Amino acid sequence: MEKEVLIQIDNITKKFGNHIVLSGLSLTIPKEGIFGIMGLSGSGKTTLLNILIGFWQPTSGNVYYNFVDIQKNQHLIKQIFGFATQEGSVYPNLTVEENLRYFGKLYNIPTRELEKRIYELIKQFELLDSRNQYAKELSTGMYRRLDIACSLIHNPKVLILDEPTGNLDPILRKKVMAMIRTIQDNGTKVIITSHLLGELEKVCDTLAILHKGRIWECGSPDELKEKYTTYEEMRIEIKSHKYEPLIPILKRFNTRNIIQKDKELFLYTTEPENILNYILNYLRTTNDQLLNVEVNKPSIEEVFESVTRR
Amino acid sequence: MKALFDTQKKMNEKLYERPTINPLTKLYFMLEKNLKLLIRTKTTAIIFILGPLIITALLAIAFNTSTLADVNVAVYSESYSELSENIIGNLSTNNYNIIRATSEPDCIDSARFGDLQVCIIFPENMQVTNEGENIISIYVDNSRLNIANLIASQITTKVSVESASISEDMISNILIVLDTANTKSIQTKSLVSELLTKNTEITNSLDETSESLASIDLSHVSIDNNTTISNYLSTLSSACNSSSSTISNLKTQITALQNNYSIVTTKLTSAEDSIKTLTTDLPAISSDISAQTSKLNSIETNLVTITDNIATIQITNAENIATPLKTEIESSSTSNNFLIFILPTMLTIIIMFLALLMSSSGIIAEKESKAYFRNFITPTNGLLFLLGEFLSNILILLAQIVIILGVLYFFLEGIISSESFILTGIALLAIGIIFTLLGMLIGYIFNTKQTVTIAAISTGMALLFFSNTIIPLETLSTKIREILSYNPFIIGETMLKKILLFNSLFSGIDQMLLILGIASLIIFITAIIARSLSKRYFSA
Repeated sequence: MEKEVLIQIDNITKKFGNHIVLSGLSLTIPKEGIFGIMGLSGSGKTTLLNILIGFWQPTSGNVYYNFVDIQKNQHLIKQIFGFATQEGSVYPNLTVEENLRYFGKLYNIPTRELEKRIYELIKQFELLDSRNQYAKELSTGMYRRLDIACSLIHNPKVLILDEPTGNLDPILRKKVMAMIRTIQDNGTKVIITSHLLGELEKVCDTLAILHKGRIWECGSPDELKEKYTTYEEMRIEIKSHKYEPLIPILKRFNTRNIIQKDKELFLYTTEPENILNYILNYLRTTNDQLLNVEVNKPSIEEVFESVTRR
Repeated sequence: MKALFDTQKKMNEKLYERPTINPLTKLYFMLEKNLKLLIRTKTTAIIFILGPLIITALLAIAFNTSTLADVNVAVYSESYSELSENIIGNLSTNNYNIIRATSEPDCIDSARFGDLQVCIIFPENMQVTNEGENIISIYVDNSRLNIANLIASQITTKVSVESASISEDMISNILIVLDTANTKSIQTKSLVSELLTKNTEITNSLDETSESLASIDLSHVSIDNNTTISNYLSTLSSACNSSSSTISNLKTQITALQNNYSIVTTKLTSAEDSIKTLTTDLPAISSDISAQTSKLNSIETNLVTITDNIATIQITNAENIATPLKTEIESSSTSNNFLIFILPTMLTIIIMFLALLMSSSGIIAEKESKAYFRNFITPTNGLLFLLGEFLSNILILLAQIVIILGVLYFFLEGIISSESFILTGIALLAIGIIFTLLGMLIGYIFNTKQTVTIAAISTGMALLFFSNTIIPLETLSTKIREILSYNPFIIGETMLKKILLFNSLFSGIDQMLLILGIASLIIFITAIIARSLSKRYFSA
């Protein structure tokens, strides 16, 4: 089934002086699901997002939201899009409520509606107890949540998040990602960039790979993995944890990157079943035991590496 | 396809466009936010609120005087005389702290290295004599442009006063001598006149005497009395009775007569000789008297010349002769309080730097704030943000102006009229507006706190340097001066001078306000452009 298009990016180029950041980039962002953009540092992710929200004008090309030219309808687009930057974009010396109230007013929200919205957001983002705390006094996770709340103050149709989990510990990352999922479920389209590809893979329904100023691939994580990978990842753990005699034999199979990490052996192979059979025989002869074996399709990192190696 | 686009667009607009709220409401929230941010940055708030209060109060306390106080003067002389001590005494009674240096180089060095403000070297054993030159050397540190000439001028004046006093004394003595000489000359002249008259009389008397002497006839007939009279007596005796007593008496008488005659004759002869001698001497005497008369005439002429010359001296007042021309520097202002004199410059400097630094640091703080970006992506006109920043700064500036005027009112109540206070407030606000906008422009142009601070200070310093405050503009070419007449610092300072020193009315400063207004408008427009270009700040 043809996916409904929300945003259509049509052959855009962006130059800063002589430096070309985006070059003939075209991309279709569907209405449904969380959309992720992957790219190396300096690949132009933030510039692309800034063009989407109308902050930068593309040097050439067009961007349409629901068939409406973003560049020609700035006022409308600013009401539709919410944006949370990598660094966060709130006033450190204003309280949580004051930040929300100030930005709410800039988005033309009437006072009564604004107060209601502020309450909803601080409740949703678990900031109720910190509502009167200065932003600078918040923990990193709370600060990030406040920033996202500020981006949602005007109830945008599209929320763009630039590296929302940057500088967060794994637990906070998980929490923020869950929150992003909730936002999407509440009907706000989420577009997200992150250098943590594993997280993107988990949360995004569609992924695009931005490299050298243009989109090289776009599709669901599974589609991308299918397209780019023939090797499967195997994780093996045996009781003795003695992998040294095993490794030279495994190399006779079609394998690569055989690495021992802590108590496990990692490898990539196109014949996982043959390898598993061999290992079981080997363990029987050595009176050892197989504790764990996992066969995975390779991660999105591999896909990304394949694309960015070009 | 186009129809589909249009329909979708209309639907979107209907769905998402909120009614725009009153820009003034947004402005209110911006002001509230900016003021909160300022107040919550405590050090900044203290600097911006208390800074003007402290600076103005310190200025007012320090300069609320009309004299130079505690100027340290080093003096040195190989040997102090009464005269040099007098001058030193005069200086010390005029608020100068006198420090006696131990040597001439020490004295000069103390002025050169700023330990003391001035060094005065007196000649050894200074006295007013025909030989002595009495050069008093004054050393000042000329690098201290603002005070060197003032101190040197004041010291020179003090020494000149002493010098004039000495001159006055000497001239008084000379005048007394001259006056005495004049009086004596006049007296002598009358004596000479008397002598001349007497001489004339004597000469006349001599002439008369000479004539009288010449007219005396002492000629007489000689009688041979011994023979003739004896013969007549013998005859008579013979004729009469020789024994007669009568005859005897007659004879006695005749003998007596004979003797008298003889005496008379002798005397006449002697008188005749004397007359002859006198007649010979009198012309010589007369000639001598004539010579004396001639000399007396010469003396009289000289005396007349002397008295006439003395009479031509019209100015006989010693003070006027000692200092025939006096200079008196009359202030064009009615006040002689230092605070009033420095106030226009100081107020302009305070407001200029406050406005420049406050607005530029406010803008860069906003730019460096992570929230700056979000402002750009909200549906709010950029002009509104600029106005918000501007009005926030102006509100703070107004508070500062009120503080400054309050402090000044405390110190200058009665010296400055209430109208002047109001006009000063207006002028300060106008000055503040232009420098606030300039600071904002700097804030939008530069991208780091350091560069903004340096740029703001440099701008202020450049405007300050190219004003009359440090170096007189008269040292620059006419063309440059013409351009510099539009320096907002100069305009502001001139405006305040007019108000504070010359009690100028609004009509006296309206032209300058107009120039500042036009300049402010130009800077405001430039700031709008700079703000929109500041988006490039995020391009990295």
